[in-house]
Amino acid sequence: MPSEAGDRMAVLQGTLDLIVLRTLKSMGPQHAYAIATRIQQMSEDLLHLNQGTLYPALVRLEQQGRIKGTWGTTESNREAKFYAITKSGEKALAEETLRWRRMSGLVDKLLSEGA
Amino acid sequence: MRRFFLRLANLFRRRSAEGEMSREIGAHLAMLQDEFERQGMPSKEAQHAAKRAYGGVEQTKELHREERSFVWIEQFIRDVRYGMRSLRRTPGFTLTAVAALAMGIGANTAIFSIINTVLLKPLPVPDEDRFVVLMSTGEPDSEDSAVATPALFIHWRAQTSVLQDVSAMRTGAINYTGGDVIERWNFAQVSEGGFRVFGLPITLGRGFTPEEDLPNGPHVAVISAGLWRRRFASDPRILGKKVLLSGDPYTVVGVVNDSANLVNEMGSNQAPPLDVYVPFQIDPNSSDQGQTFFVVARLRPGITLQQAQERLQASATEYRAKFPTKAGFTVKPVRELVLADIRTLLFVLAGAVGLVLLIACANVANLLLVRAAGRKREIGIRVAIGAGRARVVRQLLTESVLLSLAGGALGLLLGYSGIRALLASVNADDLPPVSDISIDWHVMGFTLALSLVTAVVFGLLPALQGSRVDLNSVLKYSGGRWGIGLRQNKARAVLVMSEVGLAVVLLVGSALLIRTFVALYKVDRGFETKNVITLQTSLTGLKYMKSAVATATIRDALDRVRTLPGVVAASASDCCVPMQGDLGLPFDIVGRPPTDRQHTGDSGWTMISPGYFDVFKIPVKRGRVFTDRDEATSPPVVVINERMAKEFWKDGDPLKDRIIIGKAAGKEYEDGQARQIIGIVGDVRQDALESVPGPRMYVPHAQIPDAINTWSVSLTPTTWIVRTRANTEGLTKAIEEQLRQATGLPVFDVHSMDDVVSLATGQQRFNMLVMTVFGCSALLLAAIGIYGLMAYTVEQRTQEIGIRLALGAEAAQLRNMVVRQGMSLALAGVVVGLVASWGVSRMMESLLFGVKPRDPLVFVAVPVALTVVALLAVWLPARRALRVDPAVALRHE
Repeated sequence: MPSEAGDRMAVLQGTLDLIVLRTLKSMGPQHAYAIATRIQQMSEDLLHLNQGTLYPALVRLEQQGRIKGTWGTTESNREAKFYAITKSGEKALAEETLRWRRMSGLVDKLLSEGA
Repeated sequence: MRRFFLRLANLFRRRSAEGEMSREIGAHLAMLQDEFERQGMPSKEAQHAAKRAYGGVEQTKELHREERSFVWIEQFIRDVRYGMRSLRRTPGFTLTAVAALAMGIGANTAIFSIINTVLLKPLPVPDEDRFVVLMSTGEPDSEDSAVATPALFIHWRAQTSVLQDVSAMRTGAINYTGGDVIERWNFAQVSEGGFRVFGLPITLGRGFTPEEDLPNGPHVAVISAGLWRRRFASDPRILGKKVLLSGDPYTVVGVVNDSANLVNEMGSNQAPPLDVYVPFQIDPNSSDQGQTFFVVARLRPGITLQQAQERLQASATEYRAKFPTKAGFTVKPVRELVLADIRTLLFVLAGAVGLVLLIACANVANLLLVRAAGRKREIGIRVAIGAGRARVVRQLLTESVLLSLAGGALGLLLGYSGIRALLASVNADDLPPVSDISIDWHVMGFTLALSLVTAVVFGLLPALQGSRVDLNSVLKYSGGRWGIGLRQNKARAVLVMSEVGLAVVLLVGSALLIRTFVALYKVDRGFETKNVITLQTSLTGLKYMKSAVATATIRDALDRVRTLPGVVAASASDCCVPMQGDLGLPFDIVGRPPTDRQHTGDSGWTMISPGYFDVFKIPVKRGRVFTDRDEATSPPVVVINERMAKEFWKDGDPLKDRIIIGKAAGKEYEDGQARQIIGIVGDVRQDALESVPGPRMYVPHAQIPDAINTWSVSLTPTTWIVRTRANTEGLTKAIEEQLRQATGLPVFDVHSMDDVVSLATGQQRFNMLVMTVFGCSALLLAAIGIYGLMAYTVEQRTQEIGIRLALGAEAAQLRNMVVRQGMSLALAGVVVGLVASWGVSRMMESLLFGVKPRDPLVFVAVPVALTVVALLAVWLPARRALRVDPAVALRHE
């Protein structure tokens, strides 16, 4: 995505799963559109997300048993697949969050030392 | 794990997964569009905006697909395509490898299809584990015997605490005299519990009642479903009808379905299906120890094999109190008895084919190493553009699997048709008939699994070596010829050495079996088979129960046959001509006190008509043999063989003694007469060519008491033997006709005596043929292996050879250098193989005859033969070194 990036960030590989889990955890069951909108809002539009790129992450998470999808209807009466975080998803979220904090802390530290 | 299965499931649910995905993406786009419309966009524009915001729908789908399914399957398909292309490019290599693998896998498939038929398939009996055979453990030095007598049967049947449905069984042939022509039916005598113990379903009527199984019980019969269909057109009113068996009316009480021919196959795999069953009717008070048959039973529910064995062993004391014997008793699963003989053979064969496959693997591995050396550049480039080592190994292994599957498919075909051809060409009791060999899922699964394992065995080492590339050196040089490390040639040398070694082991095995077969045919059997015809007639029926009638009929028939032009001599035996069975009875020498045992000794016992020794050209050593003047009314006589004379008349003249045969062996065996020994004849191998002749007595049929004659004619057919002049064209038909007219009964089983002997050696012939095929395959593969290695070495060293030639080396010297290198490998292999053979040939001992497992001739001939073949395989590529042109060689890249 060379030209589109600008000062927006592309999603770091592997973090999308974490973000999706976090979103579902705080918002409860949601369909893909709502998840994508929410992520964009939360990142104050800094995070650029082709909404379609969400799908592989959803499929992957569902196959790993971390989320579970069921078909339902939205307020505007459209059918959509609603995803909810599962027990194992919550566990993974906790572990991944911890790992991520450690990791970013480490990177922070390395970067500030260099300065 | 869960994800794995979901992905796997998605491979097969592709359609529905695609639908689901489109549905979800569609919903998402619709919602985006709603949002844009809410912001005031016209619907068309909103639709485009939605698509933009969403990103590439198709790309998403592709990403989606990658997530939900296996990428590596696609890579695998790519590998397969690539592999096929690459194999097609080198047809010589591919064909050689596939042929070698087909040989190896085919041999395994062939043997497995026998093992599958014989060892792995359960007996068609319900609850097979409880189906046992009763056995005597006999005197300390003799083997366990399944041969039973009425006295034993009565004793065993009383062991009701551990056994149930104890049943005696015996098979034979009987004449059906109820139709327009007399037919010969295969029949069995079985105890009342017989159908239950075999688990045979009575499809109509009933089996036998305990009352029907008592002596002098009613004449009842159960007929087989096959006979019922064939002979009685499945008549539902067959029950209660009478069938005439040898002139006696028997009431049909049931129809039994013995489609597996279980009862008859107890004795032999090739037994004909039974037609009719009659109750055995053993006297519960019998002390008869002469009649013989099998006894089978079922373990009582809850009783283990060991408990039954202990109980039977303990019960032997009671039996020994009644009868003077040292025998003990045991039970064995029927399966064990049926398979005892063939198991060793199948293990040896399985080992042999395993070796053939190993050689094939070594061979293909070698070819692959050569190929990998030639592909260094190609692989180097793949690595340079980012393929990981694992990826390269996977690619190379995929090619191996392709080769192996092709070899496996061809091998399946080869093995299946090969084993069928082989089984059709030999005939042996322990081997299954050709019709039983089929390709079922077991065989297919085995071949497939074997192919895959094989692919890894031969492919892994070359793949690992081939993928270990040093990019720098590979890409810099234009050819692959400098890139071959010492290690690689070492690996190849070891492979070739093991090929030769394994081939030695196999060849030793086949040479031993060839020697066995030759020894069997060279052994002095004591009778001549050339130009002898055998024919059989079952003299069953009331009138033949009288010895005099039977004798008169036989004499009349023989007189008729003897008048035919071309007939040299004719005779008959009630049991048995050589290779067709044997009977034994105890005997006592009149006036000599018995030794510690009851009798003077035991001896083989044959009932014959005059002319017997002429037909078989058995030499008369002393005295005379029977004539037509030895009649029922003349003094009783007997002829013995040399072995008997030597064993029992260490001093003294047998011709001055008389013997009594079968004293106290049961009323049906009591000869009762003191017979004058009138002659001594040469020894004959009666039972099998490999068994050493034992003592034997011949008695004239005319002098046999009615009691013996009765069972002898009803149980065993009378065998006619006729010696003819060389050309017997058309004569057989004439002989058959004369016999039919004289007896009024059908004639069957017409064979030349040569065929009878060859049938008796069918097992050994099979062993020899199979092992020879395997041995030769091994030799061929090893030769190809050596040739390939040396040809490659010469090719690889062309430049070096060229330089040496240019510097003035003698061509012959260079050739000798190549030969020396090749031969030192081959000889090392031969030595390893000899050492291994020395160790393992012992395992074959029970399959050998007339040759020791460490036969010196074999251990000299095999290495010599292999060395000669190796020399040839080395010589051809070495000669090529001679033709190297230095000028060309130096430019050779």
